Amino acid sequence: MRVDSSNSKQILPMVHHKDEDILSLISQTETRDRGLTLLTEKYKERIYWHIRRLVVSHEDAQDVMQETFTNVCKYIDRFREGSKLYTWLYRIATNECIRLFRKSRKIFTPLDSVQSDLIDKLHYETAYDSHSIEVKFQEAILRLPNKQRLVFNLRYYDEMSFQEIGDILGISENSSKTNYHYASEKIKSYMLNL
Amino acid sequence: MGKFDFDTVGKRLPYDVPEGYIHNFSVKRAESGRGVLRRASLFVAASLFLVVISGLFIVYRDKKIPSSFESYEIESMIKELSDDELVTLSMILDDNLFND
Repeated sequence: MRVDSSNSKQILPMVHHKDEDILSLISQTETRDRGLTLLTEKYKERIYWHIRRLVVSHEDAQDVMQETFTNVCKYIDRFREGSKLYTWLYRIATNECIRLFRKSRKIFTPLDSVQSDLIDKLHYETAYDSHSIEVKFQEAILRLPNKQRLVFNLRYYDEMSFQEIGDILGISENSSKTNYHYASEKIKSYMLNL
Repeated sequence: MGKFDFDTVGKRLPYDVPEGYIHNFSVKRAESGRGVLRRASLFVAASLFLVVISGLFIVYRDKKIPSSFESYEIESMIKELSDDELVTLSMILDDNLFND
């Protein structure tokens, strides 16, 4: 049995632990595992949907989720306090998605060449009518260049500030704004010309 | 030109997720021995390839090379690499997030 992703936030319980408390637990050897478990519990749903929107198929999202949280557990000691924990997690997840795109593309072809594969996966994976507005909207997003797609998803779905998006993607706040603007315009244009 | 209203779609996604997947998700902490071995062998293969390329470059940098030589040698070496080795090589060469 499968559930609709749009309702998952109501179905799954929210876990509320302060990042500071989680990091404090992780910093102590005897409570480290408990801290890592709480961190995973708190962020796994958000990170899953971020990954899923990028890689489209659940199978790929599963692999990237596992790699992402394995890396989080491995490199948590490198996390600099003062930064936001969730932007650090999003950065790791995003890098893992890009690593997947690099593996799946043909060698020496541009990274953006994965778009058509992702659109094929969208039509194969979705239980929705391929002409539904939800599918067409995702298709419009998948047609964007990778950087614009990332910026758009982080702003539109995760409601991040342009500064946070810049931190995750290693670009400036202004570049985030510009990419979001172009992405929105392209999506509008695509949706109006259906 | 008309206006597209983003609210007509909102945040609805056309994706399903197997029931219980997110709720039951946990991290497999330790990488299997087989995985470690596979990564190590890929790393060694990619390193050897880079050493060979560097060696060729050092040996032939001051010599006049027939125009067909370089591409022929590299092409034949690339043909001998497995898909996994090619993927690893491309990952090593791609170190920037958006750099193609």
